[in-house]
Amino acid sequence: MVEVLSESYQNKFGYEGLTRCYQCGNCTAICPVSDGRFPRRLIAHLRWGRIERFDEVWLCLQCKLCDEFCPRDTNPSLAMQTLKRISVENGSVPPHIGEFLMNVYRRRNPWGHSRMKRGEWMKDLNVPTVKDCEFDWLWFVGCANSFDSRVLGVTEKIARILNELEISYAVLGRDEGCCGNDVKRIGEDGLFELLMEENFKVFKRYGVERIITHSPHCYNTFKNDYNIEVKLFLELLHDFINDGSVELKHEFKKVVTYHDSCFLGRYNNIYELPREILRSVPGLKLVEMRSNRRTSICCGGGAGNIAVGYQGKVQPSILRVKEALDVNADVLAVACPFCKIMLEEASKSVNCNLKVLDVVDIVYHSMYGEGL
Amino acid sequence: MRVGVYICHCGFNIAGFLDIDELVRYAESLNDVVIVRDYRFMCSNPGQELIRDDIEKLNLDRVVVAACSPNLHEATFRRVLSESGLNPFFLQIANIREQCSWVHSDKVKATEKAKRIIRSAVERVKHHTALESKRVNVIPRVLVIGGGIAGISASLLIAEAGVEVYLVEREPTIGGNMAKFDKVFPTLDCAACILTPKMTAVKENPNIKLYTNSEVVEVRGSVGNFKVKIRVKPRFIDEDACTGCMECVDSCLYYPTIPSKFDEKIGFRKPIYMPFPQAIPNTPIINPDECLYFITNKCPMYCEDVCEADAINFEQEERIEEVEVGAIVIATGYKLFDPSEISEYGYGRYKNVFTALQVERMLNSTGPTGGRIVVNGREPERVAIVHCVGSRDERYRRYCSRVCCMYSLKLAHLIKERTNAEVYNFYIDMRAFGKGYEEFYRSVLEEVKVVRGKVAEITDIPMNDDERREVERGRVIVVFEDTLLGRVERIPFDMVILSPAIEPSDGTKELARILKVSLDENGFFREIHPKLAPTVVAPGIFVCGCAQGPKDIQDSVAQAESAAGQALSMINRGFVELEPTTAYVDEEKCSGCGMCVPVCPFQAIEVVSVNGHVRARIDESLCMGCGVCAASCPSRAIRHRLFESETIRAEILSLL
Ligand SMILES: Cc1cc2nc3c(=O)[nH]c(=O)nc-3n(C[C@H](O)[C@H](O)[C@H](O)COP(=O)(O)OP(=O)(O)OC[C@H]3O[C@@H](n4cnc5c(N)ncnc54)[C@H](O)[C@@H]3O)c2cc1C
Ligand code: SF4
Ligand code: SF4
Repeated sequence: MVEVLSESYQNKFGYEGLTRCYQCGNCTAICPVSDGRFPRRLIAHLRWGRIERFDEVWLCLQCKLCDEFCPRDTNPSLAMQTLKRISVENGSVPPHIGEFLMNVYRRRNPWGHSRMKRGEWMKDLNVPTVKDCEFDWLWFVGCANSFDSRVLGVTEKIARILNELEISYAVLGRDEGCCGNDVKRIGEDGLFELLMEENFKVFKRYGVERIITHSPHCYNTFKNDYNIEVKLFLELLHDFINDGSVELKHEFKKVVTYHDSCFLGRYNNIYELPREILRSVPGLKLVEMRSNRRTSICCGGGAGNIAVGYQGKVQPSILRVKEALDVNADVLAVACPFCKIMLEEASKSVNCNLKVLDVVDIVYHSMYGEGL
Repeated sequence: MRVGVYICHCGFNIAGFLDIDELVRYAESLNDVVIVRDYRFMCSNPGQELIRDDIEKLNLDRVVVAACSPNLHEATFRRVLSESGLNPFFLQIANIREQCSWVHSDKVKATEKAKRIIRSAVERVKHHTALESKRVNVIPRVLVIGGGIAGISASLLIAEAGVEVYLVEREPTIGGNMAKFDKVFPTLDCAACILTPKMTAVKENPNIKLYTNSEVVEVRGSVGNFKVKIRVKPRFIDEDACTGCMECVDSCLYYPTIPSKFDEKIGFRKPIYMPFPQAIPNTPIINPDECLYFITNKCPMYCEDVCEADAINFEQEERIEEVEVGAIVIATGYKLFDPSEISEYGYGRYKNVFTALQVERMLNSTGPTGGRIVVNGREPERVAIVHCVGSRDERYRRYCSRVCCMYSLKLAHLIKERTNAEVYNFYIDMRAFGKGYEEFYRSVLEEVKVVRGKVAEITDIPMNDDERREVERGRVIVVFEDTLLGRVERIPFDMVILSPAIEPSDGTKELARILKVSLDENGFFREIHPKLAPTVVAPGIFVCGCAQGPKDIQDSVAQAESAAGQALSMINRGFVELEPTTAYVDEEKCSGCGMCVPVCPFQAIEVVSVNGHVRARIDESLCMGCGVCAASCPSRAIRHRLFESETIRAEILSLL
C-alpha cells in the first residue's frame, strides 16, 4: 500500500535535518535490526511524503545508534519516531505495541499489572512513603523495578543502600505512575502528555522537587522531557564510593563486561560513570565488547518492546550476549532494568553460563558480601 | 546644497519588493534634494548617463544612489562623479538591496525602512568633504608563498614577463602534492613528466629567487609596498656547490628508519635525505633533530668525507631575509583530513587501511614500493576505495572536496592495471564534473565495481565462522548498504583506501594572521568575490590553487595564472591609487599617550616627536581606514576622513 501524505502532514511531522539525508545507507548498514534497507528507505519515503510498508517502522528500537553514524545529522531515529507518530495518529499500530500502550493507558505499566500492587515489593521492607515523612528526594522506582520479578532484587538492594546511607528519601507507592519515556518514543504523544500531566500533579501534591531513579528510561524523560531535577541512583553511589561512605570490601573475582543502556549512553552521554563504579570493585576485571559506548547495540527492550518482547527477525539481545561471550566475560553488567530483563532471557535462550547482573548487584555484593 | 537621488530597480531585486513610486515621492520631499530619478539598472550605461546629465544641467553638488551594496558599485558611481567634474567622494550609496529588499518579508515595512536609509544617506552626504586619492608606486617584484603546482605556475608566468619573483616553500623541495602522484586524471599522463620540467624551469629562471625550507614570518606595509621577512632554515648542505650525486646519503651510517613525510609515512629515510629523486633544489637535506652529529656530537661524519664538492656545512645557521614586493600570491595548497578521527574506519588501527596519498606513493615508480601495490607483504586480491571520508559530513568537514571522486576512480584504474585485484568504489554521489571526466568515469566503470552506499564500518571482528577465516587471512570486513539494491553487506577486503577530505595546509591560520586577511568558514583563504574576483583576497594579495578551496590541477593552474595576471597588471600599471578614506591625527589634541599604536591591525601608527612634543603619526599609505584608532583615542584626536563625528551624527539623527 502506498500512502501519500499531504503537505500539511509534512509540515506537522517533518523536522529540520530530514532534507539533509543523502541516502548513503550508513544508518541501514549500522542498524542491528535492519532488514537491508530500513531505515534509509523509509527516510526517503518520509521526505517525499510517500510511505510504503508502513509497518516496517516498528522494527526501530529508538536506540539512536544510527544517529551516531549519520554523516548528515539527519537523526534517522527521529525520522522513525516521526513515522510512528503518523502511524499512531492513523490508528495503525502492531498488536504487540498496541498491547503495551493499552497496558500503560489502563494500568500505568507495560505489563498490565494492577495499579494497586505497585507498592507491594516494599511490604516487608522499611521504605518511607511520601505520605508519612519529610523527604529531600523522591525515589521514582519505575515500572520494571516495581513489578518485574527479574529485577525486584535490585529494587530491594537499592532500598537497603538508601536506608543505610541515611538518605532523606521517600517513594510514591501506589501513587506512582508511568514516566512515559517509551510511550513518547513510540510516538503516542497524547498519552505521553497525559502521563506527564498526571505525574506533575502527584509531584506537586507531595512537594516533590528532586528525583532519584535507577531506571535510565525514567531518568531520560525526567531530564529531557519533564525538565525536572533528577539524579541517577548510580551517580549517588559513585559519589559515596568516592567519599568513602560506601566501602567496597568484598572481592568480586570475575571478568565483567558492561553493556551501555541507550538511554544512559547515547541519550545522555553517560558512558564512564558505571565503568568507574565497576572498576572500583576489588578483584573485578572489566573488559569491553566489540561494540561499546557510543557504538553499543541495544538490548531490544526499548520503544515498547519490553512488554511482549521484540518481534523483529534479528534479536539484538542475542547478538549482545554473543558479543559478551566473544570476550570471555563471566558477567554481563547492566545499569537498566529493561536491559537486565532482555539480556537475561537471551542468555538463557542461548544456553550459556553468562550471568547478567545489575551494577547495583555487584556493588551490593562488594559492600555486604552477599546477595548473589 | 543640491542633492540628486537615484533609485535603482535592480530588475526585480529591488522594484519587485519595495514600492519605488513611494520612495521617489518621499525622496523628493527631503531638504536640499533637487532631483529624484528611478531607473531599471542604474549601473548600466544609460543609468550612469542620467546622473552625468543631471550633474551638468542641474548643477548638482552631492549624489545619493539607492541601490545595491557599495561593495559592488561604489567605485562605478564615484567614477561617474569624477568624470562629471565632481569630487568622487561627494557620493553616498544607500544600500536598499542587501540591507533591505533581499532580507525582509513585509513589503510595507521594508519600504518604510528604505525611506530611512535614503534619508540618512542624504543627510550624511551633505557633510562629505572633497578628498583626493593618492598614488603610490608599485614595487615591481612579487612574493609567491607555496611551491606546489599552483605556486610554480604563478611564479613562472610572472618571471617570464620579466618580473622578479621570490618563491617561498616550507618543505625542502618544491612540487607540492602533485609531485607525489604517478599519473593524473583524467588523461592519465605521467605526473612527473609534466611537473618536473616546470620545477626545473623554476630553478633555472634567473628572475625567480627560490627559498626552500623557508617560511614567511612577517609582512608589513600594504598594496604596492610590502616588506616581507623570510626565515630561511639551514639545510646544512650548500645548494650551489652540491651536484646532487647522493653519495652523502648513501654513506650515512644511519639505517633508514625514519618515516618519510613525503612518502606519507609508508617509506623510510635517513636523517640526511632527498625527498624524491627529482627534487628541486636537487640537494639533500640534513635534519638536525635526527642527525647523530647534532644529537650526540659523536658521528664519524662519512657524509662530509665522501662529498667531493665540499658542499656539506654543519655550521650553516638559520637566517632572516628581508625583501620588498608590490604583490603577494598565496599558493599554500592543502593537506588531507586525518581519517583516524573517524574511529569506525580503523585508520591507524588496521594495517590494511590506507589514505589515498599513501597509495599514490605506492603507485609511484620512485616511491617506497617501486610502484607495486602491496599490503602485508603481498598483492591484494580485493580492494575497497571509500569516497567522501570526512567530506560532506556534518561531523567532520561539511563541504565537498571536489577531487576525491576523480582520484578514487584514477586509483581504481591504476590498481586494476597493475594487479589482478577486484576493486570496489563506494560512493554517495559521483561527481565527475570537468572536461573529459565523465568519459573517464565511463571507462573506469568497465573495470571496477562501483557501489552506491557509504561504508559504515571497517572491522576485524567477525560475525560468523566464514568471516573469522577471512580475518585470519589478514582481511578486514567492510560493512555497507548497497542502496540501489537495498541490501546490507559485509565483504572482506585485503586493502581499504580512504579518500579523505582536503583541508587547508597546516599554518594557514598563522599565515592569514601575518597577511591580515580573512579565511572562509572552512579555513581556506576567502576571495573578495566568488565569481568576479575569485583570486583576489585583499588589495595586492592574491590566492590560487587549493589554498582557496579544494580543486584539481587544471583549475589550480588556471587560478595560478589568473593570480599572476592580477599581479602583473598591477606592476605593469606601475602605481595603485590609495583610498583617501584614512584616519588622521589632530596634533593639537593628541597627548602622545600611544594608546592607538597597538590597536592598529596594520601597524600604521608610530609615536614621534613633533616640535618637542610627542605625537601619534599615521602612515597613510599603510592605513586601511578601519577606524579602530579613532575609537580608541581618549583625547578624540584621531579622526577619519569619511567618518567625521559630524557626518556620523547627521546620519544617525536622520535615522531616529
Ligand atoms: C590523493 C590525491 C590525488 C590527486 N590526483 C589528482 C589528479 O590525478 N589530477 C588532478 O588534476 N588533481 C589531483 N589531485 C588534486 C591536486 O593534488 C591538487 O589540485 C594540486 O596539488 C593543488 O596544488 P596546489 O599547488 O594548490 O597545492 P599543493 O600541491 O598542496 O602545494 C602547496 C605547497 O605549498 C607549501 N606550503 C604550504 N604552506 C606553506 C607555508 N605556510 N609557507 C610556505 N609554503 C607552504 C606546501 O609545502 C606545498 O609544497 C589529487 C589530490 C589528492 C589528495
Ligand atoms: S539518514 Fe543519515 S545515515 Fe541514513 S541514509 Fe540518510 S544521510 Fe545516510
Ligand atoms: S534507532 Fe536503532 S533500531 Fe532504530 S533505526 Fe536507528 S539503529 Fe535501528
